[in-house]
Amino acid sequence: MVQFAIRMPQTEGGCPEWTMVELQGVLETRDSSGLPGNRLGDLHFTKGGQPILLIGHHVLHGKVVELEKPFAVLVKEKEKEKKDDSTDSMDTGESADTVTCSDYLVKAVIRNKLVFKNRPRPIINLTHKKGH
Amino acid sequence: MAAVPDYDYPYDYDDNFEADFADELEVLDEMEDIPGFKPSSQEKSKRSLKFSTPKDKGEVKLNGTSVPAEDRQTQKRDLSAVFELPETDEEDNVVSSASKKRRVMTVDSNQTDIQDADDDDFEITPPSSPNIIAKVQQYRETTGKTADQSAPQAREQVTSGRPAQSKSCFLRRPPSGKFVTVTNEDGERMYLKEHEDTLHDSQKLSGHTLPGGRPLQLLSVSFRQLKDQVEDERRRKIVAESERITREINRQLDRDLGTEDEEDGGASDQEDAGKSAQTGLWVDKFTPTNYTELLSDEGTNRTLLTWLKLWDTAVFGRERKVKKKPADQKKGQFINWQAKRLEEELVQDEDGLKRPQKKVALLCGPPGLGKTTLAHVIARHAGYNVVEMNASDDRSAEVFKERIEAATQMKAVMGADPRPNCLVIDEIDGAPQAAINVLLDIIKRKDQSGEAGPQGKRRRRRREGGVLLRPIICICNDLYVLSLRRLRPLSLVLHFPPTDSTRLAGRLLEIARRQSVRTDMTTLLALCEKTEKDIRSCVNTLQFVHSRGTDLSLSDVRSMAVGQKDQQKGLFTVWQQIFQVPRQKRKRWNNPHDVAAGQQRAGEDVSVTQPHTPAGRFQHILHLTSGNGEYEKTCQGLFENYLEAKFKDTYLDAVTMGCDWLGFYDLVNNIISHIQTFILMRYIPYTFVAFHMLFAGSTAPKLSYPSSQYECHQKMTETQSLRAAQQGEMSAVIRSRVSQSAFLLELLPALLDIIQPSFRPVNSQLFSAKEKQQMSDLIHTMIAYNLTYQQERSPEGQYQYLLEPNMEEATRFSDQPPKKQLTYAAKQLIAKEIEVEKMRRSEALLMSRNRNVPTPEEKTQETGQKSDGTAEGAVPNHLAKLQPKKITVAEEKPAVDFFGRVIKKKTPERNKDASSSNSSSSQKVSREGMGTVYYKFNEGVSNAIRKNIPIQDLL
Repeated sequence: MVQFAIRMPQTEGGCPEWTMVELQGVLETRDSSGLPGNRLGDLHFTKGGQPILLIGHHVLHGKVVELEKPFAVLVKEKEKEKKDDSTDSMDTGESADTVTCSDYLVKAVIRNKLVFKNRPRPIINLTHKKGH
Repeated sequence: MAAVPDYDYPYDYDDNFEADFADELEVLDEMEDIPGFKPSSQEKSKRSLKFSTPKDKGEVKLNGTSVPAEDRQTQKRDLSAVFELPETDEEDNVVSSASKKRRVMTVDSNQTDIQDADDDDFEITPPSSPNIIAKVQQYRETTGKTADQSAPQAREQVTSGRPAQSKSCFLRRPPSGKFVTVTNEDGERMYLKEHEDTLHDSQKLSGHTLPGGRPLQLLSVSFRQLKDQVEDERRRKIVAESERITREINRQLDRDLGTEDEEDGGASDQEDAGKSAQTGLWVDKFTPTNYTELLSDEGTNRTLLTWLKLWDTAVFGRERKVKKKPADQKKGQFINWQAKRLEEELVQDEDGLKRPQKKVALLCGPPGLGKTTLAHVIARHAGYNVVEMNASDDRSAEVFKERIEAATQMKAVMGADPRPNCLVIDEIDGAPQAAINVLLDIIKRKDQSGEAGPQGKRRRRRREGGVLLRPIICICNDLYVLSLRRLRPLSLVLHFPPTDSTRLAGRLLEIARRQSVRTDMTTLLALCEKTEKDIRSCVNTLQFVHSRGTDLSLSDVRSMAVGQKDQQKGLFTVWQQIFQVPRQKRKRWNNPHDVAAGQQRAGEDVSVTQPHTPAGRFQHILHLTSGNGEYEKTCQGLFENYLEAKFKDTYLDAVTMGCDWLGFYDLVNNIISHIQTFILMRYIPYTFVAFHMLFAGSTAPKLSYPSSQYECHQKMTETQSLRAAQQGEMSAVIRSRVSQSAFLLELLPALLDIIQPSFRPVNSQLFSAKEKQQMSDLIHTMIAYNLTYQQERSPEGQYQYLLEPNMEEATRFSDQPPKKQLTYAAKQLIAKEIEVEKMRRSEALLMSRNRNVPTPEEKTQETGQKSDGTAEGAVPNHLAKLQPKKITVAEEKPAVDFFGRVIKKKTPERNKDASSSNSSSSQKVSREGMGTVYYKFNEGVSNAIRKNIPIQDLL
């Protein structure tokens, strides 16, 4: 069995908390550049706490949902192979068997997510007016 | 009027009187100083005569009415009144001593006399009276003064005043009314007017009342009342006596004339008969009351009765057998087979409510045949209560309906023998269409309810209220009036044949016998013929003759202008009579002396009696046409037919005159309709008279009903609509310049020639330039005038091209030969060319419109750039809409470069290099405000992103 060692970052104030964005749809780019590096859009919150996401000429209205189980964002660290055995919650027996053992660092914890289920609304006029 | 028996006596008395009242006379003498009194002093002695009479107990006879006792009584009463109430209305009666009783009394009574005599004097002897009265009044004033001054003198004054007051009682001329003649000592004759003193006294008495308010009288009933009673009784006696005498005389007269009616037994009946003979019409008096008395045709009577009996089941709930039986019995000699067949027909059809199929009986026939009488008699005979509606009643639809419903659905509850109603509508041909429609509704309503009945109980009950359950009998003179058209098929139509003249004459003879008109059967038959068997007219004539007190002889009948009804004649009759000179057959009604008399009378009679003379013809036509009243139609008929009439007119003078008259008619009619001066209407019939004089021939002309007017009108509206259709689409330039009539009359006929140039029958491709020009000109012209050719299939099955709209019909007269037409091929070519040209034009128009629209936009854009701030607010809506397009164009730019790859999570990593190479451009775009990233929404349920990750990746 393979064993993973997951470590908590050694930072003050515990690990940072992130938020997940869930879209019912696909994000695409017009050119072949792909998503990385591109600006996705703007996220706003209304006074009532409702998230509004602007993507291209679309407006998405969503809501904040608390996850049943919090997620952890792990980052694999290959360099520190076998350096230190995992001292954590996972089964340690497996890691002992594998020769190459990955090290995982908890980057952040996710407790909430922003869900955008609804059909996006176009914002042509708005943008047009802005442009004009 | 017994004169005074002896005039010596009064004189004796007078002597005594003077002796008795010497002192008073002295005073009188003193008073002679009063100016103006002296002249009358002479009369004093005469006057003494007068008031001496009442004084004497025996001489009270002066009053013609011998009531001395009462007189004395009243005098006493008067006296007592005076005594108790010293201040009476008579100014001089200031008497206080009881000893003067008699004197006072006489004064009192005399004063009333004087007053009356004064009045009379004014009338009879005016010259003397004013003086005397003035003097008397003057004297009274003075005496009044003296009375005030000295009480003791009053007595003398009163007595002395007496003769002065009574002086005017003597009249030198005989007065009106009762009077007494008297001769005085000079031998002069004087007249004394008699008065009913008692009346005056009692009247005066009634003025006096006791302190208790009770009238002053001795008897329990006042004398005046007693007298009135006596007078009344006497008058009543006299009236009764005179009545008795007149009755006696009448009876005697009747017996002498032999008119005593055996049938009318009682004296009262006789009286009624005598009265009705004077006041009522014989027609009413001798109206048949029984079925058997009816004069009209037996078959008609029977049919109507049978029809009415068919209602029995519906109205009375009786079975029909009951009525069928007598019908069988009676079926005998009378009934002709036609009536029998009708009867059978009637019996056959009944509807669900057991009513006869025909709900209405329609009696028609000329006036005076007894239609109304028949309806009444038969309805009564069949056990109905007759309710009649007449022409004199209000005939608006509402009232009509109300009355019909009242008559058919209500029933008299009062009276000993309440019977169901039977409605008789008299003169229904005069009712307006709306009223007839109401009647039809009521008749039909029952049919509906009969059908709808089984469907629902509630509905049925509601409708049952309106169901006609009573017979209706309609009576009309003219069956073929327009308003009756729909009623006719629904009703049992009974034509009244003319009455049998022998029966009619027999009845007339009976009437004549009863009313003691001496006549004979031949005369009556002649009368029947002359009145066209009009019963009413016959009876009226008889009564008229009777009222003149003469006997009816044959010559009378022939010379009389009776029986000529003001009956409306049909239009064809009118036309025919206008175009035909009447034959002289009617002359036989004239006596030689009547001709002369007739011309003097110069009225209807002339036209009736001698229609062959010009004057007679003139009057006849005038009467006929004005009686008909339909001037418009009459004139149209004349216009249509007058050229066909058989008249001789070499120089067409008559025709021109006729045309003049038509012009006159038009003029008058125009004015009448224009400014409603209907007084001119009276001149219209003279047109017809003129036509008669101009065009009448001896033979009957062939008349045709005037239809040209209608046809022309039809054609005109047709043409107008055609023109409207064409002008609607015509080019505005032409339309604005051409008036309607000018267009039709001047432009179109020429235009239709213009649009028919000659073409070579070759393909249009082979036309020369000139021909092509010609062609295009034609096309343009036709389009400008909204003309084209359209293919149509003629009734024979051939296809042809016709002008659309077909103005050729509008411009061509019907008897003109049709114009030369273009060939089929040419028309086809033109039609096609026009179609193409139109399309081309519309295209061009569209193009130009499209071109035109952007240019202003550009302009605004240019100007908008110049003055951005001001133009911003004024941007039209459509611009705002258009603007997004530009944005989409801008968005499309990157879309052009789009290769259609599906971007997945893996791809970014793979294409990292490529994307990085393009990043500069993409960033540029995103910097512009729009990211390259766009969102694609996935419809439906979102699947959680599940991705298989091999463990190697994690290791």
